[in-house]
Amino acid sequence: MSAQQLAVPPPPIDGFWSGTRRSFQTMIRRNGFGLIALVLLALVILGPLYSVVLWAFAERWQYPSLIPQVFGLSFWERTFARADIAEALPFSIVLAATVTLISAVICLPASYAFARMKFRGRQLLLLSFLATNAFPRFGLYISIAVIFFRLNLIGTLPGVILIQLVNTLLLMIWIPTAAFQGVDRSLEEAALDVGASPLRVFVQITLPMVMPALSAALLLTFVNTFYEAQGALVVGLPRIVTMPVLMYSLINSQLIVQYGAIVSLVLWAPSLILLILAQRLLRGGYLTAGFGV
Amino acid sequence: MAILDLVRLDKHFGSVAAVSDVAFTVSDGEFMCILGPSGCGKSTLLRMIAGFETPTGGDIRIDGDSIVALGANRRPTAMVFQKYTLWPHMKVFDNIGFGLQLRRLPRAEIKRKVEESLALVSLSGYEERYPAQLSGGQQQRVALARALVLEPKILLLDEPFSSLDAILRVRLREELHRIQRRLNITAIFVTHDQEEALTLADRIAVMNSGRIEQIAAPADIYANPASLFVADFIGAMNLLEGEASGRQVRLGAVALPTPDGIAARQVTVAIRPEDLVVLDGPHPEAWSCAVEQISDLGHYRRAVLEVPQLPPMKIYLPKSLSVQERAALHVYPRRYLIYENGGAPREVSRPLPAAAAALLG
Amino acid sequence: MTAAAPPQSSPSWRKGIIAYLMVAPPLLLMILLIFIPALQSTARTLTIDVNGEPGFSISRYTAFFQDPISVSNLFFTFQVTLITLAAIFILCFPLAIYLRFATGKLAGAVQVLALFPLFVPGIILAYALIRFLGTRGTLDNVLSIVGFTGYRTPYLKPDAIIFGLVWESIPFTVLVLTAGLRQISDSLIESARDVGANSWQIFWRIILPQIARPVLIVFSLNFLGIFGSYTIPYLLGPAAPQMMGVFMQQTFGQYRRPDDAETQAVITFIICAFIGFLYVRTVATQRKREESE
Repeated sequence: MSAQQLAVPPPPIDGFWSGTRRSFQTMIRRNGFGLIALVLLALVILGPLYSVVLWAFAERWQYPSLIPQVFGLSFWERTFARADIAEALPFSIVLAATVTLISAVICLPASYAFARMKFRGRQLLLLSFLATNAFPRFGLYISIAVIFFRLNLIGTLPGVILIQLVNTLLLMIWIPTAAFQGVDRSLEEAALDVGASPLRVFVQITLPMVMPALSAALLLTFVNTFYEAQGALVVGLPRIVTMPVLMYSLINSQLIVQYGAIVSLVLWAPSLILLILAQRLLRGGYLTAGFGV
Repeated sequence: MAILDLVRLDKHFGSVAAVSDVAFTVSDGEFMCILGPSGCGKSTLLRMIAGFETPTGGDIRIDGDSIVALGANRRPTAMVFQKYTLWPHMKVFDNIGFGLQLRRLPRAEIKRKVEESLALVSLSGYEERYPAQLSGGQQQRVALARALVLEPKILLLDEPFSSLDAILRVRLREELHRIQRRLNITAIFVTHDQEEALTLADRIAVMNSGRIEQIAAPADIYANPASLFVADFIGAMNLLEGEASGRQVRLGAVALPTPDGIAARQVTVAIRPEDLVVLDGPHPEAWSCAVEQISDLGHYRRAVLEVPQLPPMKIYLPKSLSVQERAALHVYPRRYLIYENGGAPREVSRPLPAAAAALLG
Repeated sequence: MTAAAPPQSSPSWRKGIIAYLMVAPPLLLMILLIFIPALQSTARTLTIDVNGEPGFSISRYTAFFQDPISVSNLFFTFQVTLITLAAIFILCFPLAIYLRFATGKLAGAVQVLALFPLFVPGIILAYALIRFLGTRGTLDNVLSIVGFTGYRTPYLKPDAIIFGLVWESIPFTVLVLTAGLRQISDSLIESARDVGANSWQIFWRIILPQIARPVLIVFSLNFLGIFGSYTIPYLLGPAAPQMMGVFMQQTFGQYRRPDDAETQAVITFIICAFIGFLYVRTVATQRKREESE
């Protein structure tokens, strides 16, 4: 504290801020805030999931009771005996894999160019992919659907693939671009120097070093696409039904609660993979990369 | 056996000349240092030899054959880079063995060569480590081993020790010197550190603004810097500008004799601190000056002198001479070089004045 | 990024063409599926058929704003967006400040919970919230066991939409805000205090300018996300009024009136244009700043 500050009476707001700060610090010290946050978050975040997990294994759960009266797995068989589910689940996996693959094929060369080549407008073009986030998403889907409607792409596989590809671009370009930029050129030069051909340098030096980032991009793209419901709903119906789209009808028009719960649980598997890798994904900054941050 | 010839080598980036008209020969087993301030083009020159830059003019020959058309991966050169450039995803063994694997050597042979080269850099037993598990100095040794294992005709080193701390730098420098002598390999070493160049090199090429200023043995460069730039860049030097007239140049209170044939009026006189001798009394060719500052450097002392009408001068004082700051001294230049604009220097070396027999320097 | 390229790769025209060829596929995809639909929809909504010739008209828009249902849906969307945004900031700012200053196991647990929704896709969330918030759902269950019987479910009311949208937005918001707050080192605040700045000045001159970009990014992305949302309002919200996403899908998919859906979409574009621009500009300047560091 300077003498000057002691001499001049502080503005009223000063008291407010230092007060808030101090109170924050005391809160943190006493863990009061943390405890309240923990309890509230646990209730609000885990509560809904608690219901889903228990419903998936419930034979009978009558109000009021904290847990089902009868546990059992009989609904699992019935769920997967349904033709629509048995068809949509493998289809969704193949579709997500296809979209991821196409996205990789068109985006990875582009990201290499963005990272390693010099051309006019490079920075601007790279930033232009932010446009995929800059529209109200559903409005954009409607706008695309209107064009697809005229091109007879509604209810077709190419239509669904195209609309899902749009969502993958930012992630599949920005993460690899940053990764390629992160590879020190002298590491590649050193490999050239000991006699490796440019292709071998790329395969044996550059690629292994960007591999963690590339796998993260591929995994995130696959998972995001697998869960993408809105674009597939607008463009895919009535003939193309992905698993998430099927969920809409399971939720809206099914009297048997267990179907939705079981499908939710099964559908959650890809997210579980992300959750297991969460620390690594967070450290690499990959989880927010899809937002351009 | 490897002789490197650089023939009128040029490199332009757009309109900027990074290297211009560089020509010299490095003979077999010679250790050549390219010395210059940052941005003088020395790294570009080395990168052209390695094949990472394409010259815009001239030729590079190894044992008489031009290698300019060859890619970096086909040249018989090997480079040690400035930063640690070990591949982080490969163990030390694979880092060193990578080039050998590319050459499809048998496994046993690769193993033997890797072990040999690790022994050469005193890192036996480190094969299974990853680069991240090594210290900076160890990483640079592995990089050296990686370059040497391919038995290159020419070893190129681009400021390999600049990211290490001072003590380690000296140790690795000595080790490099020993290895180079033992293998008798032709080596080119780029540095901005004159001490490094002076201790390592058989010959030094001093570069400035893309051109070679001088190529000579370290002692020669030190004694006879060919240009004002070299005089200023290598070692400590007092540079005094003065006007020459009638076989004399006036520098403050003293007129120093000049040799025949000095045509220019404006000349620069360069005097090494060790060529300034302290006399016991005034002398017409000695400056009378005051000691401004003394720093003790262990076995000798360095003083900065305040000379009337001239810039401050550096001088070395033996420990036996007890001089305090602010004391008055008379210093006499025993040897100096006179530079006219752009030309080679003229040396003046003379005996000590007979009148002042009792010398203290 | 620009600094990474050493001077030796002089941009020759051939290299330039290869680079453009490499970035062309994703760029074309984006132009075809984002810019062209958006522009075409805008153009089409402003034209009308006059004796076989296209003529300029705003009649589609006047029709939209004369329809009481459309107007109330638009108004409702605004309302939900603003309330949700306010709720997100009120919840996430304290959380982010807490996570910035707190250490230890409790803070770690709070962080894990706050980030958990990242790994719950929207469609599963919607189902889980129905089971959690709905009549005779888990919350109702818990409350009745505690003895509270007057539970009135927010399901199929605007409150459920807001609840779901906030739930979804917490992790991203907390991540970005915490990262922003971490950028401000303690020594920065202390040194400002040292030169005599009072707390208010420190807040305005030191903290706020540094966290302005994260706040803007969070604000704009959440705004766009909420305004263009579909799954949560469709599954959790009331039948009327609807949010624009639900309204558009109904117009397009159920009533088969693509022209009207297009008008609705373009209206959301126009409303979000400024926010989208804000988002792109903020990310662009942030990247430029990071590169220059």
